[in-house]
Amino acid sequence: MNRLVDHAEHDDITMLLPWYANGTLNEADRQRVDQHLATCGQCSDELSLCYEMQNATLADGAIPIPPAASASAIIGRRDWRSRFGFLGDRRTQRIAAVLAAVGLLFVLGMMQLSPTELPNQRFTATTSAGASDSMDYVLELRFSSGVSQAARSKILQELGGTAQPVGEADDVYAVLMNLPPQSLSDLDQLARDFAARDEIETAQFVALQVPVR
Amino acid sequence: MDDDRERQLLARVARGEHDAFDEVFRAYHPLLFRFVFKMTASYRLADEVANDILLIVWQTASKFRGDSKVSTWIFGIAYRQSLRRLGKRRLKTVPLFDSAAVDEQSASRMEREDWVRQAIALLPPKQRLTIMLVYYLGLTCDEAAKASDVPINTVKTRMFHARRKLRGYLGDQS
Repeated sequence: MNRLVDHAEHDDITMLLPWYANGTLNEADRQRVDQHLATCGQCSDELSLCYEMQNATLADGAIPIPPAASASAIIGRRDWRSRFGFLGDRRTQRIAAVLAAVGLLFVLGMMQLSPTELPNQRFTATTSAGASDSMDYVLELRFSSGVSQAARSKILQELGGTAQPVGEADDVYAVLMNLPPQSLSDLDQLARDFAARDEIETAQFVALQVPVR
Repeated sequence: MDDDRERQLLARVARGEHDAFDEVFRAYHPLLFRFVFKMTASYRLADEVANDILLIVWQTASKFRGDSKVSTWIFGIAYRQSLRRLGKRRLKTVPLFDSAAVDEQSASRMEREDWVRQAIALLPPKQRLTIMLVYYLGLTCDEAAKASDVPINTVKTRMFHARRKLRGYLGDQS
């Protein structure tokens, strides 16, 4: 009988351990746990794991500073949504996605037919004397939050181009990469490959440099 | 901020008073941002979800029934919003390593705390969120149950099974 009672008590205490660890148990339950822990090695081990989980959860080392946000901006969003909320529903989004896809296919098709008459609007031409058998592409790279400066430098070195920060943001870099001429889809694939890395949040080719004649 | 003060503020928010909402916003935004960031590891998503949570607070303050602390009610919204986003981001929240690939070499390389943190990230979203409610936000069992909108025993069971799974991931003997 005592063994049954002890077993039930053990199960009950095991369930309470997370709240013993976070310090929110009431006094009576806390004393029950204390008494049980004095004789139960298994629950002591469980409690150690609870503390480890708590420490791992509370550690704030890699958490960035929250962005400066304002309550009025949030309320403004509410007003925007109430006026244009229909734009946010799934059906509208699907229709917009289909229209965007059709538009993109149309633009790509036109580029195939007459590449010189319809320049790719995504790319901004800058000026530089460049070689004719390769082109300088500007890759805009946004690192994931929490990536150390050392890790960023290493990745930028791996890319092989010259890199400089964009604006005042310390996590966005423009990397000038000299590559053989690439198709739009190849560039997109290349950017996706970069973005697949855990350290990189987004990657996109945003400009190319063309020779000055 | 104590609960009485928060109840007064929320009542004013329900009446549409912007300065009251501003105070709630400043008190909760950093905490909610960190809460979501720990779950998603995405700065942009954490900001977006924290703002969404506070937008819901602004829109639904009048629906607060008063049968829990204000903080528990807000954390309940955070729980549901995070769960919704985690469901959508299931592939993106897969940690860097496969639990089956944890070997002695990696064990020796990684600090135990980092290891535990990454193992927690392998848990199902509901268990991870419950862990966050209890260990990060320090909720009581009753508060965690209210925030998750489940019975107390479900919260206890989630925490218990989370430990079982974690031991499996960590290769601990138990």
